[in-house]
Amino acid sequence: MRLPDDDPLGPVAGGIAWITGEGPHSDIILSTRIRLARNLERFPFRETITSAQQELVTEDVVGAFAELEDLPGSEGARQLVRLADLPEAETTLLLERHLVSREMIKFRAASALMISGGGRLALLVNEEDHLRIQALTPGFQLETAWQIASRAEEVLRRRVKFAYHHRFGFLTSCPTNTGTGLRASVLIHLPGLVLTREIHKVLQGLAQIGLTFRGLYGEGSDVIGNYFQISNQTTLGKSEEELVGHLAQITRQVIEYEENARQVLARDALDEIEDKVWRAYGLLRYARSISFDEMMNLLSAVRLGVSMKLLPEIRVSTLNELLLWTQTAHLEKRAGRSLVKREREIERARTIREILESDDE
Amino acid sequence: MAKATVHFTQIVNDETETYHLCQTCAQKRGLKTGPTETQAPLSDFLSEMGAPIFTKATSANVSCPRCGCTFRQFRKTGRLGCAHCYSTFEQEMSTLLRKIHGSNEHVGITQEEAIGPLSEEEAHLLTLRRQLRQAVEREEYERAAELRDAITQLEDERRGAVVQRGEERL
Repeated sequence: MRLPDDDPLGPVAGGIAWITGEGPHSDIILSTRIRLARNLERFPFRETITSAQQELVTEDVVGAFAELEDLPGSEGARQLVRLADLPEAETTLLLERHLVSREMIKFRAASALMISGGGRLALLVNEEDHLRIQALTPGFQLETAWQIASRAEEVLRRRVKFAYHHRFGFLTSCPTNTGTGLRASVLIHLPGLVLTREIHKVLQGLAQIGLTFRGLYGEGSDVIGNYFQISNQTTLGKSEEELVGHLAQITRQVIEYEENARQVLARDALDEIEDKVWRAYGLLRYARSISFDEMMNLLSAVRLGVSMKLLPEIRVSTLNELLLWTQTAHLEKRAGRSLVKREREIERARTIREILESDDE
Repeated sequence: MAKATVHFTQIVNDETETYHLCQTCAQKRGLKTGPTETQAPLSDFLSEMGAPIFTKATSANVSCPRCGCTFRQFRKTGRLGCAHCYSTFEQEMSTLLRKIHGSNEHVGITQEEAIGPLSEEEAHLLTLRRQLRQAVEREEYERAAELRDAITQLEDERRGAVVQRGEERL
């Protein structure tokens, strides 16, 4: 599905490069993200910063951004968006693309987003910290994401002085990010573990080894459609390599657990699972009105069915498109107006049918 | 009876059905359950730490000379006022960071440290990327496709290095 010409990030940049579903394990892992939190030394943190100073932060970062040329993830069309210049609905559009945080929308007067490489590299300015450098890659690609984020950070660090303490490392507004400022995460789909009720054990296990999980939309969001964001919990006392390596190791284990759970499903409940995924497919294909929650449940079943080869092949990119375009702000963007709940559900069902039909071609 | 290993909820036309299946596929009806999320916010850490460190007269009254923030304010919001707060409340932060992260010594990339000079391979990659952009600008799509393939191949070869190193150190 094409981005509209008046897309806030432009029809080319869009910031949705992850949607292609390229990259290893992309049927289970939607995307891999690394973000580095940094603050500029010469300005106070958000608790005490003035709006004039925030403007200077943006200027500094925009200036340094020009130097990011020819770095991994910085190729292609670039876009700078000041959130204050966007209608609120369009800021939600960016939230649905995982390019801005709720935090940035809440303080949108001063926040800005810079993206390049179709969103593979994004700089979030005046978020909770002055700067969040974010690399977002499709599938399971921690190494690539680390290369993109770390190179960008290095170039910026040579140009603007970051707040740093000889013992504590890079300083952040909230002490939970201090040190490396690094949060590495994978957005992973675990229906097998949910259906076999092994998921609690896995999630409890994560907590014991310094990892944490969140819902689809990050901190404080609910788990929906069996999508989990797994990330490192701590940022201090381990090197970036160790943090990223640890997440890679554990993620591979979780993938293995998920695959085992799917084998259990195939062994013990094949008829039921087959029925479930085909029903889900049928409903998505033919429903005339559908809520977001129901769709997410069905979509999870269909993704599972495709991955287990119980359903005819549907491209991973199509499954990802379904996730993107059926969210409220995206539906409204396509419709060109705000929609009441009932209209939205009708529009959602129509969009799903269109996307599935385009996959047939 | 065999233990149920598969449980699922199906919503059809707003009717919810949950299945519990054992190895012999015995079906039972039951309640829908799903994973719930718990997260320990910073405020938990702060309250958990208890009184000793925070009730020190010094900490409570000292304010950061740069931003005016007091430790009491930080305790309330969970956010520091500026970078200098970390030095003003160094002792308290040191204890708090250890509580949060299990460590208060940064061992990662430092302020001065570059991640390393560009290797020959990386320099080559940059050249290829520059050529690719030029090719796209000149609408030389065949050339662009070749360059894209070469870049992808090089990137694939490089993948795994840092992550692997990180894993080896664990």
